[in-house]
Amino acid sequence: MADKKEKPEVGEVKKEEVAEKKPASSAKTATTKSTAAKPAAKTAASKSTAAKSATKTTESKSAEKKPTAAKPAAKTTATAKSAAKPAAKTTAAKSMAAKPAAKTTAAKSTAAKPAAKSVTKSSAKKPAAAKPDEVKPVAEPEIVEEIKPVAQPETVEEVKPVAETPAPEAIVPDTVQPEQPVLPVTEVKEEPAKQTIMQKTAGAFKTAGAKTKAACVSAASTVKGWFVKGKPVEATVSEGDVNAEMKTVLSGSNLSTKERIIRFCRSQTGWLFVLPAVVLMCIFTLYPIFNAFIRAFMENYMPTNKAHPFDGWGFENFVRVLKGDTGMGGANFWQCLLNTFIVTIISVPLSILIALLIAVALSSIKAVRKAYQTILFLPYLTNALAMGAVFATFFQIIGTKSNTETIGMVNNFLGWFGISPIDWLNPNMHAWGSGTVKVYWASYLVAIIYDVWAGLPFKILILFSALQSVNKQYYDAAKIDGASRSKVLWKITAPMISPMLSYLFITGIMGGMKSYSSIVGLFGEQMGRDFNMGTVVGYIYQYIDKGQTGYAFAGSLLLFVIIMIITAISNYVSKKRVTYT
Amino acid sequence: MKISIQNLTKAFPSRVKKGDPVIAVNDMNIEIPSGKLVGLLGPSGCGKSTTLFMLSGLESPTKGKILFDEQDVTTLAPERRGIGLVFQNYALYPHMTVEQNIMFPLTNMRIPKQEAKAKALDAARLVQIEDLLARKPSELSGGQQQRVAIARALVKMPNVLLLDEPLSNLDARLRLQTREEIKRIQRETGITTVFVTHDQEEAMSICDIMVVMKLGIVQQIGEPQAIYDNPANLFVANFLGTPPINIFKGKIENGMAYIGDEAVVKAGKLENQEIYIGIRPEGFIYDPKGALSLDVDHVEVMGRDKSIVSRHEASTKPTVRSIIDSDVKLPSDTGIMKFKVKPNKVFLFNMDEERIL
Repeated sequence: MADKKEKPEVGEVKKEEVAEKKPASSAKTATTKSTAAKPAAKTAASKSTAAKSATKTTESKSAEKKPTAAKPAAKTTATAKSAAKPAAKTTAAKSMAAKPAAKTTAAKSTAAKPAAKSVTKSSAKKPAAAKPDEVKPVAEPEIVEEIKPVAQPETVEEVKPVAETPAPEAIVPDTVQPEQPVLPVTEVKEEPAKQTIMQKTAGAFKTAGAKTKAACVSAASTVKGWFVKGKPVEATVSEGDVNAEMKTVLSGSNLSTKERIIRFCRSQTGWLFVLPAVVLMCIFTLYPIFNAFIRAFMENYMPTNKAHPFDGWGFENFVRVLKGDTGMGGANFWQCLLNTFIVTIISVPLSILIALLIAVALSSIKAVRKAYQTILFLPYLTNALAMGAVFATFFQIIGTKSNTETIGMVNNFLGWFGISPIDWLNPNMHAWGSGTVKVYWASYLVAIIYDVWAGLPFKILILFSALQSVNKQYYDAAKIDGASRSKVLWKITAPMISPMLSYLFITGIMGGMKSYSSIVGLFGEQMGRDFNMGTVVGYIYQYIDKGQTGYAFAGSLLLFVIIMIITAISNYVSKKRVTYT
Repeated sequence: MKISIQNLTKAFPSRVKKGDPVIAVNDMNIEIPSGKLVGLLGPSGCGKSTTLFMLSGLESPTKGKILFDEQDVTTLAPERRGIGLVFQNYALYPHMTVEQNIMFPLTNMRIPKQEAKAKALDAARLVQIEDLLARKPSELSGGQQQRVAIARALVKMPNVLLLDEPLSNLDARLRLQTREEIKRIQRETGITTVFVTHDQEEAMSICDIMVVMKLGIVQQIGEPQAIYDNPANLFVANFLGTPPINIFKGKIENGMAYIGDEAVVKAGKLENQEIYIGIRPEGFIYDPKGALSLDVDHVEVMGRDKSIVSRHEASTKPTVRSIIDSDVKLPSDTGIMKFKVKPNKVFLFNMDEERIL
């Protein structure tokens, strides 16, 4: 018991010394390693524990350049004991120690430790001999307490991570109940092996030259070598190599294959939970995408011709689509792209702007807000084709002027101002430009009005709720500062809800580039006259319809790329303009 | 600019249908001299913020008038009152830089950009944030945001500066520092300043004039020390001072005020009645021959002085706290100790109105 009391003191003494010698560096290294030390602790259990313990001692002493005889001995004692018992812990300590040790007189101190353990052997060589009493207690199980102080001085943090490892009983120095057997069974078994290795270690250190820096490094690496591979390693490794090797050790590369497989499987359990979704996604999303991608490069793909489904690989589909040379007449890709692009690029910002104004107006009234909200949301519930049909009726030319029936509401209205009827729904009647690609402004106008109107409900809903989340204080502050209403809207409200605005813009553009049903609703299945009001999706669909899937695939890939580009640009812009609060 | 508040009342409609309206501010009358720092002090829900917002024009009064100098501003829009308001949460525009935030009021006044920039820089210098101008509010600490908010309020040279709980979002140390800063800025600019706080220490430390409010009614107006030394009623006495005043139930008999059956102070010519006796913690003197006996529970040593925690059955609070100089030697064991009281630290309040006698 007296010994026990003395030991903690020893530990303390050490601590102080360490602090003096290597205030910054040792502390640092210790910490860095501490993380690494964990896995090592585990591995150590299965391998040579003793080697570790040796290193630990090394570390503890590493701070002192030339340990005085009395002290090292005391220390060693403690360490040696600890080595024997909580092997796992020691290991951790050692693993860390290996590095710092490299610099200091590791060799010496290490030697001292084994000495302590097998009293007869090393004690003769080292100063440990001078204090036989201390040496003895080391060998006994009770001395577990001492392990702690020893381990702590340089690497207080190391001890902790160790505690987290799977074999906590072995690791946690149980200061409180020294009687309790600390050793896990495995360690006990390895006891003899340890012993020999330790002797070896001691020898290695000695031979290495003990005092020089290089020698220390090599000594440390030797220890590690045993520890890692179960056999000695050439003692000429540089410090850097030591570190590298250390890493491999700590990453668990010395686990058995079986263990590694089990570990891997466990870490992948999460996949089970998402499996149904993943499977469905693979079948219905990923496969078609890949398929389309591949087929787009098959020339003259004919699925019905089993013997000779396609002529060969190449870009011909793309070339033909882009040249408008599909040999089928009908839609022109550039015309479709232009139609889609113009309508989208005008209608999306316009509908966001109108939606914003409506949302602001809506949030500033209280009385009939609910009723307005309901009314404004109704179009969202209406079928696109049905809405298109109604709009088509509005823009009809039939029934105006000469005819007595009045169904072309817009033309009739314009008639009051003396504007002659416009054949809105026949693109060919009102177009700018000549050649294959034209700007059908009148029809665009119809499509834009339709898109804006159809897009409003959702946008109002989103913006209205975004407005509710803006802190009222900003408006009060603006009021105090005398900002006008429009200034409040543009300088405060809009930036405050800019994340939502950008969301609406990007999704709106994406949706717009894929529009199809709205045009069909307005202009009929032929999308105007012979697809001259066609959209890109309409173009694709047309070729699927005709069985020319190659062009359809090529068209959809092109559309995909175009949408990607536009989205990337809007993303880039919005990153600069959008403030997330 | 002189501010005068006349019969100011604010009633909010009741949340319950046909319920009574909630009176936030009730018939308030204050004259605030030009260039003073005035604190509206009271527990939460006492109407102090509402008063401030009525001054700013963000809330319109139900009744009464607000005059800036002789001009009636009661119905004037906020931006035309020439006020600067610092919000409790600062309300800095997150998407603007500090400079844009400070310049914002100026751009609304159509001041040319160069001039506005120069003015913004001046204001920033005043609050010592001139090197933060390019940052966004989210990149500032709480204290820095606070300064930006003050700079934004000051940049247009308001006639009146209003601060709504300006220190409540700062940590204790920063609070001390910032309140001195506010005092300094107010002195330097000479702007009539009204600020709202629930922290009596804060109000006492920087106010020229303090207005103590409770449930929408002004309890007392005056200089902080004067209010502390002569509280108008039990509420004010209770609200001011840390540790708070000790209140005992007592009585006046034959010109003496009694706690229990111990005559503590002379009551002059007051007639015999049941009373509350308030004694400030610093009003106790340890004296074995003293009149008041307290059952001392323990003594807390604070360094500069000692805080004695004791019990008395007439006390309205569970413990009686008294502070005495640390040099005074106390008996080592607890138990009954005798105290004398300083007459100027003792206040007598009548039982029914809790008014001072």
